[in-house]
This record gives sequence, C-alpha cells and structure tokens, in this order.
Amino acid sequence: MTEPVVLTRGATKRYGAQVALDGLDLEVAPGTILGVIGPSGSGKTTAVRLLTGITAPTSGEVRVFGVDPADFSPEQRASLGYMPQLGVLDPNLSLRENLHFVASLYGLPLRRRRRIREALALVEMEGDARKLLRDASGGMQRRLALTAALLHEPQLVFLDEPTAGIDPVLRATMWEHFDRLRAQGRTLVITTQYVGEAAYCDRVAVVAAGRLLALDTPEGLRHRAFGGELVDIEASERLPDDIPAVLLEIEGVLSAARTGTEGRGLRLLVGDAGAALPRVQRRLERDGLTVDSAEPRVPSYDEVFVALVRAGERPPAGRRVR
Amino acid sequence: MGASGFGQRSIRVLAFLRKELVGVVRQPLLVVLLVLGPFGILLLFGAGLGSGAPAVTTVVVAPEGSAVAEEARRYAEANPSRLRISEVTADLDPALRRLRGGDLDLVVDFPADIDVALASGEQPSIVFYHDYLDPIEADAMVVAMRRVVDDLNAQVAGARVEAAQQRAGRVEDRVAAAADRVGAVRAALARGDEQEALIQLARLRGEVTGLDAELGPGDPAEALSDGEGTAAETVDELAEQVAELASDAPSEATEPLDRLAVEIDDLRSGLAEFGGLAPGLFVRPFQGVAETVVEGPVDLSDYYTPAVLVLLAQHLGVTFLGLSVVRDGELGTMDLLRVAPVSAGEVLLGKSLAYLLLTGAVTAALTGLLVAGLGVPVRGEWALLALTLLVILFASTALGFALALAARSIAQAVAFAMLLLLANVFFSGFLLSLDRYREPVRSLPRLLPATYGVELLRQVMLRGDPPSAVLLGILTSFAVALFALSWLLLRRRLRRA
Repeated sequence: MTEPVVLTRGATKRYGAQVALDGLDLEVAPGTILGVIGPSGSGKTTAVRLLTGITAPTSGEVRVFGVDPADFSPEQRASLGYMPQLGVLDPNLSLRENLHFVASLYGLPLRRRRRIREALALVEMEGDARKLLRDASGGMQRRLALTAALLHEPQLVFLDEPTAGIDPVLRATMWEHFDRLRAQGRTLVITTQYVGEAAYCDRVAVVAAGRLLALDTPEGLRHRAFGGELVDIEASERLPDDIPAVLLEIEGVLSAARTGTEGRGLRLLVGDAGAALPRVQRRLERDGLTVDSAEPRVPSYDEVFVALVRAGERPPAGRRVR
Repeated sequence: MGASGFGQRSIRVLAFLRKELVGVVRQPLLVVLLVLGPFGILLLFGAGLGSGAPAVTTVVVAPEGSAVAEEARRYAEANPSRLRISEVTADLDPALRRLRGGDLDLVVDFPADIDVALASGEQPSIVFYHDYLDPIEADAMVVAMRRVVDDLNAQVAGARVEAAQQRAGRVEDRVAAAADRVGAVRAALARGDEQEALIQLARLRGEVTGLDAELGPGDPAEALSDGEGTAAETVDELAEQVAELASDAPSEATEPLDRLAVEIDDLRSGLAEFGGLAPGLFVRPFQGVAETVVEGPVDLSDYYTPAVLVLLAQHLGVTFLGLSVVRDGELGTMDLLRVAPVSAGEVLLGKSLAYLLLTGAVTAALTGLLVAGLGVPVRGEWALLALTLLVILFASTALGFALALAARSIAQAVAFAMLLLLANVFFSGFLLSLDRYREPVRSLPRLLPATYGVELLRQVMLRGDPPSAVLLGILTSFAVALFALSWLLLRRRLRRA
C-alpha cells in the first residue's frame, strides 16, 4: 500500500478552553485531492495550519511526508505549496512583483520571467501583470494567491478556500486546473465552503464544530449521509395508507415515506437501488398499483452535507418509517 | 530548482530587499517628504530664530519724579530691543495685576529714597517680578536682571567717581600752589630768612587745610593715602615739623622739607593719575572676553543639525521596520514565511539591508541639502562622516528591528517609535546637555544609541575631530547585540505557534 503523504491521528488543537479541532484522523494518498468541507469556523483552516506546520497540535499526531511538520527540512518545505485563506501578498507590489517575491522565497532561479508570464496567463491575468495588488479585484487576488502557491511546482499543495468569492465559471476552471495537477501526480488538500465542490475530489472530509464527521469518496458520502440510496416512486393513483409498511418487508428497503400532496408519491431508502427497485416495482404491480415513474434520486451535496451534519449531532438511528 | 544553496539564500535575501524597497519607493511623496521635510524644518528654524532675546514689556515702579525712574528710562532707551518700558508708575499693585493678567513680562520695583539708604550704609533692593512659566526663560530672565542691576550699580558708582575726578581737578590747583609754597620756604631758608619761611609755611598749611576740606571724608581720593591718614594730613604734619625746625634748627629743616616736597609731588601725580583714569575702570576694572577653541562659528541650526540627522535616521529605521514587520504579521505574510523554506537570518538580512539602503539614501540626501543649502559645516573628513553615519544607521536599523518584533500591532509599533523619539529628544543630548541630569537619570542616555550618534556627529561635523573609536565601538556593539536579539525573536516567531 502506498504510504500516505498526510497522516493525522487524534490531532487536536485547543486555544484555551476552546477546541478548534477535536481528534482529527486523516490519511491522504499521494496523487489525490482531499476536499475538506465544512461551514465557517468548523476547523478547516486550523487543520491546514496543523498540516503546514504553522501551528502545533495540542495533542495527537501529525505527519506530512512522514515527519512532524515541526521537523520539515528546507527541501520538504520547498515541496509544499500553501495558499492561505486570507490574502498574504503585498498590496503595494504589482501582481508580477508579488509572484517574483514568492518565487524567490522558494529559491527559484532569477531567470523566471517566462514561468511567471505563463503562470499569470494560466489564470487569465497576463494583461494585469503590472497592476498593483491593492487595485486588483478580490477574485484576481485569490487567483494570484493560488498562482503563487503553485509557482514552484510543489508536490503537496494546501489550498485554504481557493474558490471563495470566485465566480462559478472561474471556479470550474480552477478545478480543472487542480484536476490537471492531480494527473501530474501532485497531492492537493483543498478546503471549501462550497459543498458541491466535493464532486471534484477523490476523498472528502466533512468537518463541523472541529470534528471530522465523515471521510469518504463523494459517492460514499452520499451513501453514508442517508444510510443508502434514495429512490423516488410516482404511482398513477393514490397509494394505500399501509404501503410504506408493506414495502419495508421487501429485502433491501431500509425506509419508506410518502411524498407529495395527493398520496401518489413515495421515497424509499434502499441499500442498492439497482437490486431493490425491480423488487419494489413488482410488489406494487402485484397489488394492482401502476407505477408512472421509479428513479434513483441523486441528492445534492448540500443535502448530503446537511444530512451528515445532522447525523453528527444525534446518535445513529435504525430503520425508520415515516 | 537550479540555484545552489548559497544562491537560493542570496535570492531569498534579495527578495526581501527588493520587496521592501519597491514598497517604499512606490510612495514617492513619502520619500520626498522624508528628505525635504527635515530640511524645510531646519531651514525655517535657522531663518526664523531671532539672533537676540525677545523684547520684555516692562513697567517700572519708582517714586514719582525720582532720579532712579529717569535712570531706568535712560537704560531702557539704551537697550530698546530687550527692555521695552511701557510705563513708569509709582503704584506697584496695578502693575502686578497687569503682570498676572499677561499684559506685561516684567515689573521692576525700585525702592524709595535710594540716596538716603545708600548714605546710611544700607543696600537697597530692586525687585523684579516676572510671570514666566518656562523655567529656562525664567532662568534667563534672572541672569538678565542681574546684569541690569550690575549695570545700574556701575552707572551709580561711575557717576560718583566722575564727580570725584572733577573735584580732584580743583584740588590739583591747590596742590600746585602748595608745591610753590614749599619752593618759597626752601628759598627763604636758603637765604636764612626764617621769618619768610614761617610765613610761607603758614600759607602752605592753609592750602593743605583747604585741600582736606575740598576732598572731604570718604572721598575716592582717599585711595591716595598711605593707610595712616589722608595725603593732606601727611602734608600738614610735615609742614608742622618744618615750621618747628625752621625756628630752632633751620639746617635740620632741610630733610623734612625734602620729604614734604616728595609728598606733595606724590599727591600731585596721584591726583593726576586719578583724574586721568576712565570712571569705568574704577567700577569695572575687568571685562570678560570669551574665546572659543572650536574651529569656526556654530549657530543654532548648525548645532542641532547632527542631532536631527541622528534622530531622523533612527526614527526612519524604527518606524519603517516596525510597520513592515507588524504588517507582515497582520497581513499573514508571516504564515507564508513559516511554510516557505526561509530562515530568520535571511528575513533579517534582507529587510535590514533594504532599510539600511533606504535610510542611508535619505540621510545622505538630507546631509547634502543641509550642507549645500543651509551651509551647515562639515569640518571633519567626509569619509569619516560617512563611516559615522553608516554606524549610526546600522544601530538604528538594529534597534528598529528589535522594537518591531516586540510590537504586536501597528498601534504598538507607532507607540514604540514615538516613545523612543521622545526619549531621544530629552536624553540624547539633542536639547539639553547630559551634564544637567542627576544620577541615576544621568546614566539613562547611555542606554540610547542616539546619544552616541549625536556626540559622534558633533565631533565630526562641528569640531572637525575624527569620531571617537570608543563611541563607534559602543554603537557597533549596540547594533550587534540588537541584531542578535532580533534574530532570536524572529526565529521564535517563525516557529510554530
């Protein structure tokens, strides 16, 4: 098995009595994208600060490249890319000068004009190279910060909310770029408040109130959020009142609930939609009910996220009927 | 990466150097202000400062129609720029009310009946009331008033000497007549005409008695006495001896007659000498003459220029570095540095070099302007001046870095810079000589690098001496210690929180 690039075990960070991060367990395989999703103040930035070595954990273990970030060698630091959540570049320098500064921090040779021009072109800011950062829009500043983090071609990149405040089109472009970096074998840890961006990640960590609620693939998260797959059924006539209880007898059906106002709709939670749906349709037809439509429902990541957060707030439940 | 370890370190140092310089140079108004601001202030200071002390609006309180009031007026007319007498009055209380109300600077209260007091051996007081809040101005006023009293005393004494000289002139005629009588006595005795000799002697004694009456008691001409009586009394005694001998043993009268002649000659020459001396020599036999061994004149703006240069260099270092380092923290740049392969030494070196160059350029430009524009002298060697300024800038940058790392916010950095500036104004020798302070405060200035800087620059610029190697060594040691402290603080800050 490939050694994880990032590994944490029970990593906890406290600021006085306040727990910013509580027992974080993470593993990030090389060449993958880990998305860290959570609401504001959930501990995402604290996690990134622990992993980059800016902050030390109060307890627990943090390993990046197999070492404690406190013991990073200069070479290991040079292999890290970091884009902080807030702008850290100099507002009195131009976009190009800021990139030169960051490039110098990482010891890039002085002959780097072409590389910087290309980097600016990649984020569609080549024409704004001379513009002072303080005169640039918020979106441009985020793009520049991202470019600065990637300029030295790091192997492991920590991006703290890189798409915050960016328009949807540019966000999509940026994720395409992250995808290319992954294809080049680089590892990315990206925090975001945009739950839908989970779809671009190989694995997603959902955090809330400093706790890791789930760590899985995007599909796995969907499954985990509701305990199975959702299927929406629409009959041509009103369904009998006892139909949810009847359908629960079918193998693979985990829960059933009525939907809609005319009593014709049903939402089922099943372990595997492909296996359960034919059985459900047969049972309804046997009872003389005509099914107009029966389709697996793909919940949005917002719904997944809300479900996970709510689930994280209460103890696990068994099979339910509503 | 391509660059070697040393090459990468150099690139990182240059990155900070360039970033800081570009950040400041991008504000040309600031740079111009830094050079022209202090120059303009010194220019206004030098051009606007009056050469003498300000006029003092004064009311003289003296008895109505008294001579002393006239004397005071004459004095004021002779010194119109300093003592401006607005009124002469006999009432003290209204004058004091005006003084307290801010209408006047000074009330001079002369006593009544000065002549009577003097005649009775008293030393009457002239009281000067002032309303100065500034202790330095008040001290200056006390010194000025002592001088006024000295002048008045000299005027009074001089007038008396002059009167005495006039009387001495009249006495001289009598002494000449007395000398003639001595000649007549000698001639009569030579002829054996004792009768005539006695007649002449009687006339001689008459002249001497008149002389005594003319001079009177307590006269300055008593200075001509031998300490056992007045010259006239001596002459009189000798004349009496001659008279006694003239009848009993005329041949023995020759010796006292010769002494009498000598005594009268002495009296004549003494009176002539007394009359020929200026009255001022009696009341002020000495005058003070101040000669400086400093090469060339030093006016106020010359004197303050070295201190201004030091304070400016230090304030620039502290302010710029303070704001730069604190801003790095507030912007989050420090987080970037914690992640990047950057060492505390590289940050320290890069930023220090940037501000050393910046403050160096500003200080050099300002020095050039002050020398060329205001004529501030550089009496020492320019190379030594450059060396001294370099050491001062080195220490200022180190101090700026240490304070910047101690500050946690821009407000704190500004407060530190302001406090240091204030401490330097009072304790670096900028305003007051360090000798004016008492221990243990007197040792405090030795903790301020600016103290050494001010002393060194005054040595080179104004005295034309080479800078003291000891002071240069102390200042360099300060700089090295502060840089070491800064390195430790920065290293700690770049570590994980």
